Amino acid sequence: MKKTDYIILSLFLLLGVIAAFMPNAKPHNVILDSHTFLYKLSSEHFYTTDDVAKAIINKDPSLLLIDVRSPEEYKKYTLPGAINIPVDSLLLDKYRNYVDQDVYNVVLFSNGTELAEKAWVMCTGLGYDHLYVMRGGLNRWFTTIFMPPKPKDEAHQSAFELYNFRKAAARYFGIGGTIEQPQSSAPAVQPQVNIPKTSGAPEGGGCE
Amino acid sequence: MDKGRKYMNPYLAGFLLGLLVIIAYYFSGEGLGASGAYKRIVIGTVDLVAHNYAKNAHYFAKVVNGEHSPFNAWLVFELLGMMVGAIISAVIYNRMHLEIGKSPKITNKTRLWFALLGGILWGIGSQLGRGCTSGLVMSGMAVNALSGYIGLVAVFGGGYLFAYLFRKLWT
Amino acid sequence: MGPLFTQGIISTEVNHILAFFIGIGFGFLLEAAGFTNTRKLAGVFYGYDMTVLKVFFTAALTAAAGLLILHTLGAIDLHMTYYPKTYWLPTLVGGLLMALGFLTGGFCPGTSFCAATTGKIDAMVFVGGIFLGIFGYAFTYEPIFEKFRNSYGLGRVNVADWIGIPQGLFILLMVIIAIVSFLVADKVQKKINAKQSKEDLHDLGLDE
Repeated sequence: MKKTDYIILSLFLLLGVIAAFMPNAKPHNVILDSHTFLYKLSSEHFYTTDDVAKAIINKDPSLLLIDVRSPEEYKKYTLPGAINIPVDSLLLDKYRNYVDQDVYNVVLFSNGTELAEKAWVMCTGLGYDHLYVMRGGLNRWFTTIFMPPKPKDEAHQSAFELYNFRKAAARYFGIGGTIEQPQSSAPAVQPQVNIPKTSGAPEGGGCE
Repeated sequence: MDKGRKYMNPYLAGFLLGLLVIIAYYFSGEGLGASGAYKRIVIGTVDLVAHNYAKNAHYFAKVVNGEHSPFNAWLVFELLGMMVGAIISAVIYNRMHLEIGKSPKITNKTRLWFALLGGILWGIGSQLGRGCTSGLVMSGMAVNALSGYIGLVAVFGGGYLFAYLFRKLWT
Repeated sequence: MGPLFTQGIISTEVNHILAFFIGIGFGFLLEAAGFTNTRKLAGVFYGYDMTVLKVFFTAALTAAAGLLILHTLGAIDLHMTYYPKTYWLPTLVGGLLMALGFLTGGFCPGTSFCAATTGKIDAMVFVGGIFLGIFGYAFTYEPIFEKFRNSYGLGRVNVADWIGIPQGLFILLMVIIAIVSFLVADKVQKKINAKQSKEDLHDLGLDE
């Protein structure tokens, strides 16, 4: 071996030795350290009700809606295509592939914002990504989509566009301006989530 | 065939490459890669030609529906840089030639057909395996990822396993 | 403290410009090491040129040691960088396909791109093949590959944690293994090339 080789390989070995003396970095699979957690908490993670309506109408295949309320509430009314995972079951192994994945944009929702936000914090703390919360929840869904406030005459053009979008969305979701049960609560577009018997996961993310 | 100045010392090249991986992680939060850039180019192209198909097809959807153009990605810019870097080195070492690199024992035609086959296999394999040697293995090993080591065993181990079958192409 | 882009300290534009320059370095090093030459690349599997082994292991482990040291020093937070999830069987199968691709084509995506850029026609064909392969994969993704690709997921598994030893110790062990393999590789390369020269001399009728 040439002299240069010896020098570089010695440096290489030295690097390895120094690395061996480093205190063990926290493993990736467990709960995030506070620093990273705080960073994630302050990141943008909300979908407005309009965002969700748009995504449903456009049949966005990357959207996955999770209703975190109880099964009884879910049966009464839920968003089209939403699946039901009550908050207290979110961390069960059988649902892990829905929340710990990197393909879908998972939007959690409840009646208001609180419950969904709690669910989001819980999952994010475990290091899961691609999770969002529908701000305002189903309550706001009703007041914006089904009973959109009509803009004043002198309002900006964009306000009218939003109003018209919401009215159209309301018709799409089966409401003719009044609050009634939509024709079918059955998920209109069931997202294709492949959950094989072994610990698989929904579609994989991009490769490096 | 290592004649002095013809190639950079492999350990030096490796060491510098390792530093580059660190730099990449430091600035962008991700490591080096290559197949990911190819994937982006494919997705971007299909998106230009058939957006409505792409936004619903599972392979394309997430990238196509993202906030940036598929082409506007870290890996794509990195790939463009690779072009420039390779040319600079080739000029310095006087290796800028139009040629077909192959063993003297096979014909050009053979070489080209096998090159095509090899590329196709990499296209499929890299998508299935979530990366290629730089992205999956090297950048994976840089963070002690199991996926990187599985890739290492599969690619290099597989190489040694099947090498005998293809010896006529190289030796 | 890194990673800068992830924390919004640098913009997407700056991040991409940096990517370009990092790419320049990457392309330069690959070409300088001789990786635009397929015979040199394939040599690692036949013993006559072990450059690939030397470059690859040195690079990966220098990065690993360096990142861990920087993490301990607080210069980078490895919990915020991209960490790949392990899908062991798809990766294994993909790797075997890639190995076959290597033995037939003599390149990998990165090296072939550099080679194509510097005039190697076979590399251009190879790159074309990669695109063909990806197109084929993309359009048959849902019926053929999707389910398999997303199965056998184990989450973000770190080898050192998996085995149960500290990160740094694992890296040191790998460095030692690498250095030993370099020494063995040199011996193997010498032997194979000596044998080869003997054969060449014999073919030319120049031996005693």
